[in-house]
Amino acid sequence: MDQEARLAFWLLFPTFIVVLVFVIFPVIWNLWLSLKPVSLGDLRGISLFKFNLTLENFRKVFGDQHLGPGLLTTLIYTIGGSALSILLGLMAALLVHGEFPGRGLLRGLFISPYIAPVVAVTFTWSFIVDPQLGVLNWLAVDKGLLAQPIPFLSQRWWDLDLLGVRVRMPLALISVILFEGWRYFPFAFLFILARLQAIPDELYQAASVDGASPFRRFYHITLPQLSTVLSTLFLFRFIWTFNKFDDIFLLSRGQAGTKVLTIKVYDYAFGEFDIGASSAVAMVLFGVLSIFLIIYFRWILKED
Amino acid sequence: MASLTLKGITKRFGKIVALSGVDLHVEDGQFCVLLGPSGCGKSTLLNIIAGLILQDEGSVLLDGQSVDRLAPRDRDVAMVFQSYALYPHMKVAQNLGFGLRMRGVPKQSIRERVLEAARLLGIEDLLDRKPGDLSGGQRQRVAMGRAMVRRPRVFLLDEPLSNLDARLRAGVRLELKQLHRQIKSTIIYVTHDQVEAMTLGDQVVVMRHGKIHQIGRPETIYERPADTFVATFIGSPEMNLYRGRLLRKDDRLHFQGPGFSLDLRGLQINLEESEVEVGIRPEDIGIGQGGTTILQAKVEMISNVGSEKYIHAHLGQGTLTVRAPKEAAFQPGQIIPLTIDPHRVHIFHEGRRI
Repeated sequence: MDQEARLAFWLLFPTFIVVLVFVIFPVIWNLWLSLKPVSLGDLRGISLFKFNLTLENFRKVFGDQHLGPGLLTTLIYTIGGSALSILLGLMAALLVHGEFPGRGLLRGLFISPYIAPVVAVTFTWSFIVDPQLGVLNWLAVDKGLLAQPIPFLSQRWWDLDLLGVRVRMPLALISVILFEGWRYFPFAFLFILARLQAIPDELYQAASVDGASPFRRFYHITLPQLSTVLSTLFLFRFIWTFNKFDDIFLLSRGQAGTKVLTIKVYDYAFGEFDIGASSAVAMVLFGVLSIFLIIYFRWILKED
Repeated sequence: MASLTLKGITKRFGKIVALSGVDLHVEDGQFCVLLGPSGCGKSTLLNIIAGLILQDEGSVLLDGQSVDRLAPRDRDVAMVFQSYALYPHMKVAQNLGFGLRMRGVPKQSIRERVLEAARLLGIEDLLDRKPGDLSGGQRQRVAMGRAMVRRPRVFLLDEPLSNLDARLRAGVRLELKQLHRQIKSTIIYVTHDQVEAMTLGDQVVVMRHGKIHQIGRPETIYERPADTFVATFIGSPEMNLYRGRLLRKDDRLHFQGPGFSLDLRGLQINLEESEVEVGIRPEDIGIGQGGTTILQAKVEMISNVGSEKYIHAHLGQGTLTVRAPKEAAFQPGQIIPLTIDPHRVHIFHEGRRI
């Protein structure tokens, strides 16, 4: 028994070290930085270890009038992007679930947005939707679909006339959410397809004989069978999108109503050279995400 | 309830002919068993009746009306799958009521009919559980219940007992028989197990390679097999079958087998001297002197199944299985005399019974 315990210790030890160095230490270090007046210049030198703790950074961050709207933007971006990527993934998985020639090729193609380098795809999309140089706007204007080009990534609001009702749409935010949905649907697609293939055909046959139409078979068999994978996917996508920085930064630089909190972290650190405030925003992100996870797990546990 | 008629059902999967020209009529309230080795097309036939697979040729009729153009949900048949195919995310009660719910039956009557079926099958206390929490036998009952609740015109059962262990299977088989007597429904039952076929069926359909070999009552199938396939497929241990020549000497009929000769005097057969196959069931062979036809066999091996013994012996250049009472004490190597009643011998010419 003693020997087994020792073996278990040595087997777990490397993992423990990795978690300590790459997970626990950065969180504590970030908390430490957020509680001190640290500027970019202070990152080298002995002053980092001084015990001059203060809540000044948090006071500054919470006093920032952009924090509330930034959090709201982050939530809209996260929920919209996660939901859209899962929805697209579900549709794609259903599309290539059956047997048809070229299925393998199509499945492979569906993965490509996920594996292409982010810099490449953001630049590609930026060029496609660019109001002056972009092929999309050019085509739409040329064919008479649009009176003038739409600056998808640089205009905050877009007034739309829907059957006489004027609707104000956050254009740039919607654009980056669409990008997020496009880029990450393959992730959801792979998970959903795998689960979809594991559902026995006989369940569908039984439901057909029981009198269920195709739509009801989807609603009563497929969806419940996918519920676990869908909720797990939403959890993953929520966490990752909430912390997402590169995609949105490369597309819009956080301009035109797309300033999520991760870009705020960047702005404080490299715009104002205020590492302390930057760390404080990161801690706010961490806190909000933790609250979300607690609620989510409570809800999931209750469901089961 | 309804009668079922199949007319010339043919189905091909690519180059493989799964069913060819299957004709069948099942009376209202009859228990019909489709019996055959795996790959004989019996499950395909069941799926065609359900409408889950479309036939290439032929027609399916319920009460004389063609249902070929109807989707499975409009045919009003119920199916019990080999794997049961219970909806894992639904409780037993929801599983049972699903078909009624899909047909827009009011909630109150769904509850009543679910309860009624549950009572009949003795699964009332399982209604709030999910299929994952049930044993194999309980799942089988729920699957039966799900079919019964709807009161369909025809029940289709696809090897419903094959996932149960042997002891449970015998019990459920009896229950199924009783259940059929109670609800008097038309049942099409697919199995590869001849015991199930013999004990359950009013009518047994023996199939092989997508063709029907014989349709008849279980006794008929056993007593008067239409061809050598049915003769050897039904019955355990298998019927002894010998290829040889039918001979007539002084108006006395003889069968010249491989290394032995069988006296068939007294049989009326309208056949010239020719190549035939002769079959004798192990239980139709008497041990000892006294009968009409006497043969000598050399005991090779004895299998004891408890209630009786099977003696595997050499007869001429062939082998022979004989049923013996459990008290029988023979030794390998012993020579035993056998008697055979010519009237219990099956004779096949070119594979067909004569």
